[in-house]
Order: sequence, then C-alpha cells, then structure tokens
Amino acid sequence: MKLEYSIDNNIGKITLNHPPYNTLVDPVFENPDRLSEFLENPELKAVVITGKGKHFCTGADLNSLAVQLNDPKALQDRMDEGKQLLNIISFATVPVAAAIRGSCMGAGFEIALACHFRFASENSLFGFPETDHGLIPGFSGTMATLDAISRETLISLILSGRMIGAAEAKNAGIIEEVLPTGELLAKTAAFLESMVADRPQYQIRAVLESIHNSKKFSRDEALKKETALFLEVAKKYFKLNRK
Amino acid sequence: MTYSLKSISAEPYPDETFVKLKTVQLEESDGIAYLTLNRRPKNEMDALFFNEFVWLARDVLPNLKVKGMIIQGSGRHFSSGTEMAEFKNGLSIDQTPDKEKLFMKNVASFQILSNLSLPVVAVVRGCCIGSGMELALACHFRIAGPNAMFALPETQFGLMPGCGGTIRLQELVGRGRAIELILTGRSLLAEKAREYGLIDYISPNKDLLKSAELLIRQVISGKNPGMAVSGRRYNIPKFLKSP
Repeated sequence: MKLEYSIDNNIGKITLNHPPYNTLVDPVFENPDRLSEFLENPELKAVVITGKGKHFCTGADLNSLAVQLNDPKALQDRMDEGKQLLNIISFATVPVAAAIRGSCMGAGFEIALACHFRFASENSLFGFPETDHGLIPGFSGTMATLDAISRETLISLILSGRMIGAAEAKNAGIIEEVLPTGELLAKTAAFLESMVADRPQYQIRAVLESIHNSKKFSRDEALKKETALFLEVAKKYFKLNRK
Repeated sequence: MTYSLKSISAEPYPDETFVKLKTVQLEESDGIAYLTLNRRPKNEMDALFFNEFVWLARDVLPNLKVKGMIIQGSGRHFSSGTEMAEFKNGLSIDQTPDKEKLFMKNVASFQILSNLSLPVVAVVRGCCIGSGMELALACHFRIAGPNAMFALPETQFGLMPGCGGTIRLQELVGRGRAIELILTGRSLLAEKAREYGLIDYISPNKDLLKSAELLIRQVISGKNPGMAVSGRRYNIPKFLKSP
C-alpha cells in the first residue's frame, strides 16, 4: 500500500492507496520519516485520512501475512516498526480525522482508531475479524485507546469478530457522525476547518502537544510542560500583535 | 483546631472552623470542608486570588481533618476565570523565568486538590470558565446546576489553557472532544457537559450542596462506590481504585 499526500487550504489529506481494499502488504506501510515530515509541514493545520475507492482499509493482506509468518522474528520487528506509524498519527500535533467509507477492519480499524476523530458513511462497517482467522489484532487494536472506543465494545468486537455498521458505531461513541457518502470528505474537512481556521499553526501545535503530553509524561511533568508551552504561545501572540 | 486560624471575620463561628481571606474562605461543618470563592458576582481569579489559594492549598488543605471537601463560588457563578485584560497586560510586559515559576505554583496548587485522598467535589452554579473550569477539573467530582456553563475560551484570546486544562479535560471527555473544545473555545451547558462526561450530576441549584454532601457520604461509606463512578469512562479518583 502507498500513501498519497496533498494539502489544500491548510487541510492535509492522506490517502491509503491500494484499491480496492487498501490492504497492508507490509506492517511498515510507510516510511516513518516521510509520514512525520508530512504531519509537521508548516502549511498544515489539520489532516484527513481516507481510503482510495470504496473502502477505507480491510487490514493486512492475508496472503502476504502467511508468507511473512515463515520468518516470525522478522515479522515481529516489522510489526513493531509499523505500530510506530500509528503512534505518529495518534500524537500528531494537528487534529487528524479519519473519513471512512465501506469496510474498516482489522489493521484498517486500528489505523482509524489512532486518529483523533472518525467520520463514516452510511454504508461503513467496522470490526476485528482477526479472531475468525485464528489471530488477534496485533497492530495496537487490543490496546486501542479508551478515547476512541470503550473497553466493553472493544472486547466484544475482538472476541466475536462481528462487524458493526455506522449507526451502531456512532452509538458506541466510536465515530462522531454518520454522513452521506457523497458528503463524507467535504464535511470531515469542514469539521476540521471549523476548529482550526481561526487559529495560527503554532497555537494549534502547542495545544495538541500539551494534550498528548498527558499520555507521555507523569502528571507533574505534563503540567510543567503545559506551563512552558503556555508561555511560548503567549510570547508569540504578543510579538505578533504588538500595538 | 488542626491548623492556624487567620480570621478577619468579626462574626463568631463557635462550632465551625473558619478562615476568611479577601478572595476565598474556608469553613468546616460536620466533617466536610467548604472552600468558597467569595468575590461575587464573578469570583474572578486574579493574582490576589492565586496568592491566597496557593497558601491555602499548601499550608491548610492537606492538614484538614475532614472526610470530604466542597469547592464552590458564592453568588450566581462558580468563577469567570482570569481577568483577561489584566492577565494579558502582565504577560506582555513580563516574560521572565519568575513568571514561569509563578504559573507553576498556581497549577501545582490545583494539583494539591487532586492529590488529596478524600473526595473533593466542585459545586458549579452559573459560569465556570477558563481557570475557573480548570479548578473544577482538578476536583474529583463535579456537580452542577441546570444552567451552569463551562468553557475553556483561552484560544479565542490567542492563548491556551495554562492551569491543567489541556491535561485534565481529556481524562473526562476523551481526547478528540478535548481537542475540539479547547481549539474552538466553545461553551457547554450543563446537559451537554454531563453527556460528554465533563460533569457527574445535575441538580437544581437549591439542592446542589445537599447532593454534594450526599455524594461525599456515599463515597466514603465504601458501601456504594459504583454509584460514585458509574457512567465514568475515565479518571476514577485514585482513592476509590484500591480497596
């Protein structure tokens, strides 16, 4: 799978490109530096992640996986490296929203859960089919942050292997809104714009960095860093707005 | 008495221990401490407030022999937060390391509340904004009247929450919602706040104190801890976690 990048009006778009199902042939589905570089682009205020064609991503390509299992140690290293990509997305210092059409399963679901927001079309489907294949989610799915999905829902979906539709996903708090397919990308971008349009980039990045710090540092450390970020933002603001 | 009394009040309070400062007062009744911001109507948090609150938090609160604490504002509002004009004036002139130390003392004083191993309940009437909301976030529980209003509007003023808001809000409402609320700075009424998990219960204004006292009794009785944490997805206070 390849990732395609574009920026339009400060809103970035990352497209998972391996249609029709945008499957992952390799856990390291992108060069981590390439992904980080895009997310740190000074033109960027927010990012939409979406799949090429009719589906978001149905997860790992099982044939590739079977081949890779011949060298489990190498596969383990690749998976550990690939998971870092999800951390890069999760800890991006601009808001990241997944725009989901069609199937969002397995590693695809894990990618969507790493995003800060999820919007989905009426025909979208979510699930962890790994257990049906004698596997378990191995791309951070079992540790999906409670910000995105409740523990009960997560356990239920993983163990049962069942798929849920957009309405149930919304009720479970997994997605923000169900949108008509034709409006999915536009409305997802509009949601992000309403959050970031009036905010300078340095302010957005400081807020998100501080929010992420609570997951990376102890409470006291995170609070100290918030103060430092706060003063940095204030300094920049007063410099730019000197009367 | 278990702490030194700094009483400026002329009225005798024989059965209740009482500390009255310029911006905040502390009373004890029936084993519960009541900390009231007492500069109605706004109960604003200026430099004088933080001076007094830092002293209270460091020298008085940890030594109280009470079983619970209630934090509230006098009059119609909890607190309007920092006075923006004075604050911006101060920040634009003075960006020294001393300022950083001062802000860290302020946020540390809120953290002292969070670290108390007795239930601290914020009782919110009316407006609870900016650092006012950050004070409420530092408490273990939040109960509000039906017309209470919550916001972290700092980004609208070119700044960002600097008293723990970026760290604590997500623990209650989840990361995506916290990103959205802080970047937009929008306000929430009580019902929405409860739906998002920002507050625990809504009670009519006249019943708020009774509800808070009942909550404290339930929590410390240990008989019904589930009630105190039901509906919470995140942030169960430490003292409730272990038997």
